Amino acid sequence: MFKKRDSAALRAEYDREILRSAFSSMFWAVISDKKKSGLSLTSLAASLGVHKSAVSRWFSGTSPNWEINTISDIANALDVEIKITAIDRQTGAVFTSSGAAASQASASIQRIETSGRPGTIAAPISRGSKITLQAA
Amino acid sequence: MTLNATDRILFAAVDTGKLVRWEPIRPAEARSIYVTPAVLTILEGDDPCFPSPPVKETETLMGRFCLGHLVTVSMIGLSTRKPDFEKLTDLDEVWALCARRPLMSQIRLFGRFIDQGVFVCLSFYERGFLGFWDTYNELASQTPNDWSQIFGTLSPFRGVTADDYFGYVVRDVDV
Repeated sequence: MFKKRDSAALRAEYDREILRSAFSSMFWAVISDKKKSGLSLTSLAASLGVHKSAVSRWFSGTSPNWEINTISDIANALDVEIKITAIDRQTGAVFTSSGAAASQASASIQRIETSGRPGTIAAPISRGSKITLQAA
Repeated sequence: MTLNATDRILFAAVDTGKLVRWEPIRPAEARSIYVTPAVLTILEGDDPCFPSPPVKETETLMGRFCLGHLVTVSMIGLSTRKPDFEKLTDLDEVWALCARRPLMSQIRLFGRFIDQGVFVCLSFYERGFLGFWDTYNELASQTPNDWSQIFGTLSPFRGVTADDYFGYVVRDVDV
């Protein structure tokens, strides 16, 4: 890989952007699904106490840098629970909020199961781990 | 793994050096991007004619695409919503991948889809060079010819909705 793309600084920026993207992408997957049962950006904005244009901007390409509180509020407004999983890139070990979760074999299976399904988004982070977010 | 005819043609283009699979900084396999060697040289900052491509913006946009993350799309082109991808009007299945930051260094990658979630980038332009819409479209109109040089008579992928082309998480900004 050419040196410009391989720089540690670029990788760090990339990882931050992709983690932000993971949250907005996951929430948009939930919104797209719930639109079928009547959810609108207007109603979501109202439940969050923000203007509809703000909500639309969140999902317009540039991923917002949400505070944790905002992520929690959006999850509540969408009535979803967020589960967070970290997967060690080197060993495949899986970690959740309540500790090491699974063996390497089932970690591999989990990686396959959590890639590409709407509502389940993979986001890489630095320092040898990967975060997987699930909205349930 | 079973390969269909389109897969075979695409892999033949890679095997003969006409295309290269774009690899994001971190592994990603939901969607994929293929670029010509010339485009790859530019994106890696190795073309003296384009010494400073907007690496961060391009990497994250293409990374989001490859990860299956949310990308914004306009199916009607000329959108004021500044989407990540635009399907250009009056052209046959020509798309623009739009890296819009920094504002004065925007770039466009013109290409076509060969399958759902598989985008082939065939040319690179700095947005400032593309100028107004008539020049923009004139240069983008070379894309079908660039496609034929690689794929011969193979038709590009055709869809109706943004989801048809992208799969995974996508937002049509005009809906």
